[in-house]
Amino acid sequence: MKVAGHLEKVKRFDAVRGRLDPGEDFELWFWMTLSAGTNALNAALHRVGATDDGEYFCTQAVDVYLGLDEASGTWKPAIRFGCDIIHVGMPEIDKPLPPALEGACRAMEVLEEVRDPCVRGDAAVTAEVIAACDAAYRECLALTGRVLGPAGWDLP
Amino acid sequence: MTPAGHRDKAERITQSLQKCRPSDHEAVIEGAMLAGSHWFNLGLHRLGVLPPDRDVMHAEFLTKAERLKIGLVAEDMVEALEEIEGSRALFVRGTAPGGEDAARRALECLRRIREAALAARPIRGGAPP
Repeated sequence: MKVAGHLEKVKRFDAVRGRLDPGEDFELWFWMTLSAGTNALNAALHRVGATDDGEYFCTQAVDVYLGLDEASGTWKPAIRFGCDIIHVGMPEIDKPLPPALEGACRAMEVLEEVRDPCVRGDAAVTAEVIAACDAAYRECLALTGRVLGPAGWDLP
Repeated sequence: MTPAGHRDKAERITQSLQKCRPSDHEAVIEGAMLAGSHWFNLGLHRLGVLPPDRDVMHAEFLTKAERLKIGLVAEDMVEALEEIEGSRALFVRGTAPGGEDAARRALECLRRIREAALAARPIRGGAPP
């Protein structure tokens, strides 16, 4: 997906995140955080040429993307490599990253580690967990912003 | 995760969805997927198809044998979760037109999953957990 498309997603997820209470609405608040961060990272990865910005959309199967078949006007799955990531490490990126994006990936890993225990499972959602997620999100936006900002792309 | 735990999570997420607008289609679809997954697992535990210590993350990750078995006892529940999951690539991770319609369908699917989960009874008889 194009950088502009990812950044629009960041803004939309971030806007919902801002209307949710991190404690009362933890699960959806967390999911908006994770989704916005992943889109910011995808935008930055495209910007530095680490991944392809083609209009192919991630499915749940790694390396399978939906693309529009112009002839039939329908969306068809195809195997593609080096496009959008679903999560950090899914798929692995086989190109070197600038330090800022290495750091953004590490920030996203903090969120990924919370995902299954606290959203899929029943691990306690403490004030510390919420603070760690918020800090990781802000770190991800700050670090991806270092790559996107000089090109004129703004993040929330 | 226990059936009660799944119910708590599903109800909390559904409550949070009240803070979304129809135009927040990505958030609505994702919330429906998360809440729907918890209702789905509750249903599977109540049916006795899966023990409480084994949860399914996504319907699309079911093995062929699991999908066949669950389809025989809860076809509508699994189809509804599959429909929500199937809309994520185009409308959440992608920018295909029609996101708001997909979000409306996702909420309807969530209602169907919840209804099926709460109505589920053990396939071998007895009281649901």
